[in-house]
Amino acid sequence: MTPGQLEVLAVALLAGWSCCLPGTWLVLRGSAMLVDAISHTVLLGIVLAFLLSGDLGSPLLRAGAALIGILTVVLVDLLARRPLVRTDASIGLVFPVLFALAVLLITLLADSVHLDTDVVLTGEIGLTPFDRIEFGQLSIPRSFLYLGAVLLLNAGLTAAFWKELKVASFDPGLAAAIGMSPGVIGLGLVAATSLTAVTAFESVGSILVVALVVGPPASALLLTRRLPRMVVWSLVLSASASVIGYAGAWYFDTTIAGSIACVIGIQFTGAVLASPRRGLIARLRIRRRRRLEFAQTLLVKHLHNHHGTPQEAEESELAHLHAGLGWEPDFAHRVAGAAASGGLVRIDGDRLRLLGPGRIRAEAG
Amino acid sequence: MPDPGEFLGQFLLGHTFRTVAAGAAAMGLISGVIGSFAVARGQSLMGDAVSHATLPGVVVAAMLVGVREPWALIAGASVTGVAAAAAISLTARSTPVKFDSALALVLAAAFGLGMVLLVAQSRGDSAQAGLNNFLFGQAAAIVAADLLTIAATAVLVLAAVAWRWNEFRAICFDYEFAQVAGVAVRRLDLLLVLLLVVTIAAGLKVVGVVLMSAMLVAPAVAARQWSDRFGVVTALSAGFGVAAGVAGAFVSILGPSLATGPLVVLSLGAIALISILGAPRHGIVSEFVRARRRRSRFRLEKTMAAMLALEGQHRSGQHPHPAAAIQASIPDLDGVERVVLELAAAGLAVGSPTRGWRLTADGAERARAILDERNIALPGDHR
Repeated sequence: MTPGQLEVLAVALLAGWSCCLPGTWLVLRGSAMLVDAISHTVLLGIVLAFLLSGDLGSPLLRAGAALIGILTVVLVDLLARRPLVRTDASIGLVFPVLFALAVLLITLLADSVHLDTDVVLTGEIGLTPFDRIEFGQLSIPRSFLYLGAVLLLNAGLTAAFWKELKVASFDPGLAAAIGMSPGVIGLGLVAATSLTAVTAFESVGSILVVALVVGPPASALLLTRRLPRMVVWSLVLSASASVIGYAGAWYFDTTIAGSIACVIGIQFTGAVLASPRRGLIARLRIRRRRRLEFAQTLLVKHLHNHHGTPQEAEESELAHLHAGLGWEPDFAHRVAGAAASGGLVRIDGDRLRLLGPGRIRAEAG
Repeated sequence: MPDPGEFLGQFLLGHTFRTVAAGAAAMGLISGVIGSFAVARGQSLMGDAVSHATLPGVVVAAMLVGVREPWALIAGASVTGVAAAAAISLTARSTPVKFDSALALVLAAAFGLGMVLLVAQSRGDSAQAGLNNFLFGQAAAIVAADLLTIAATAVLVLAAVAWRWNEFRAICFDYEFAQVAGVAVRRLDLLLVLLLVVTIAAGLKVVGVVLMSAMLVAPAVAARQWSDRFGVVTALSAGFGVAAGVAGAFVSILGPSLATGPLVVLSLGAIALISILGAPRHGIVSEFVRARRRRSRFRLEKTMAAMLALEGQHRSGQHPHPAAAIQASIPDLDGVERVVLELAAAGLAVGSPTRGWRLTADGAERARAILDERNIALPGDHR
């Protein structure tokens, strides 16, 4: 790898880690789509700040864009307070309108602003090493500085307000009752998200911002029930998505942002399917096992009920279970096999005999 | 500004304007109708996720069939759109991950996949320019074949909605009721999602992936402010969509670099804002006026009740009291001097600032009625 490639990878890592810290809380609070809104409307902030400052490199641009992010959320909140407008409708209305305004302004100012609207969505992470900043002998990409600062800020805020964030996210009522003002905490979270989105957005584009904010925490939520572990898992998943996504983009010679977003999607699919306790596969296995357990109980009860009756010989025939319990022959064989290997019954040719443990279970269950 | 006659002849009756306006209006119509369902079900953001998720389908269709076939692109978009919708509802239903996280994740991952495919596709041939239009839409590039596709989609969507209007309404407002009433909820649920996806796929060329969500949500939110009846809301929503489509197309021909999609969305934003502010019953203005009227009526009634109570303390009744005395008996209501003037103007009280004020016969009767209505007995009032 060349130093330039390493730097691009480092930018992706820094962006990913900055994003997943606020992302964890957004996912837990159920306001993940806010980041979709913010990551789009910051474009309006950038355009407006450009109109004011006339310079695409100015720090005003960043501040303006972050302010618009906060304004978006405030507008969404105000609109959602109307009795006939739900929060999701409010998000779906506010951000496209602000984004449309931004796109229109860009096309109107096309001669003076070189803002490519496509880049807004996809970012240009591959170009980040070319925008450098010098510290004496040391020359680092400018985005290192900005993303590093945001990462430190987010880490500091997460550590400092851990308890407040936790209470306000899981139980806003309790937070209000013990004087934590969940509204202020929510707004602070939005402000941090907005600043992160603006900073990361420049290098990775708005879609990857959404993926980085929501993806790793959502996957982590499937892997653990404990909050500190969830944060650690998101950091690990985010880093691995950046590395694998970058490698994939290099191998297939394709867009880095798109490739990382794909890997995040694959990680999540993997977590949904294969999470040890809450994955779909695990749940399917548990369901099958329970079904088999229940069927065995049913079988021993069936045998026990007919024990010593004139029909015993007929009812304990394996082939009769279809009529007696409504089981398909395949299933009946599986249940009988499981019961036999568990020592509940003995298979005698085509007849089943209840054993001691089976009788105990039939009487207990 | 060109000469109006020339302008009319050149632009409004021109072929381009008519094509663009017709396309935008037809899209506004069906997205208004489908949007009113999505918003009523609390699935406003589903449209946003689905529209982003159409990108990989569009790209694959363009690779297989070519970018000039609107049918193929809509079909491709629909396939990945439906897959995304299914993935979202499966995730939200059977994992601890919430609906909004599922939306955001599927949106971003599918769009990332679309970008990857787009890069691969653009390496093959130079048709990428045609696909970039799908991100932000390019209504100006609508041609007859697109218009035909949009029109056919519109007819299909409207026919489906008309065919199962009552069932759709039932699953939007009371899913359990619909289920118990014997509606095939799962199948109609799927059909509604399918209609949403097809609408989005058809609209991509007009407004693009990112702005599509507003086409669905804004007209429905605006329409909801004007009526409590779902049929009226849907019709109004469709009307707003058409109006915004035509308005956006019209404004976009005024300048060479004005894109239609963003203008349509901004028109919708304006319609929504006007509706939220000015709708007759649910609007902010009428709410404000109502609150003011209620407050002023309350002030009048409270002052009249206080005057009645004061006058009741005198054997003769009908005894005037200075405004300051009335004020002293109701300290938490300020500005009694102004209220008594209002009462005098309404013929409910007589007097002057120097002699004091008393209720007229009319006023006393009204005051008693108010107290009766609220079941309040005045001290010394033995009736």
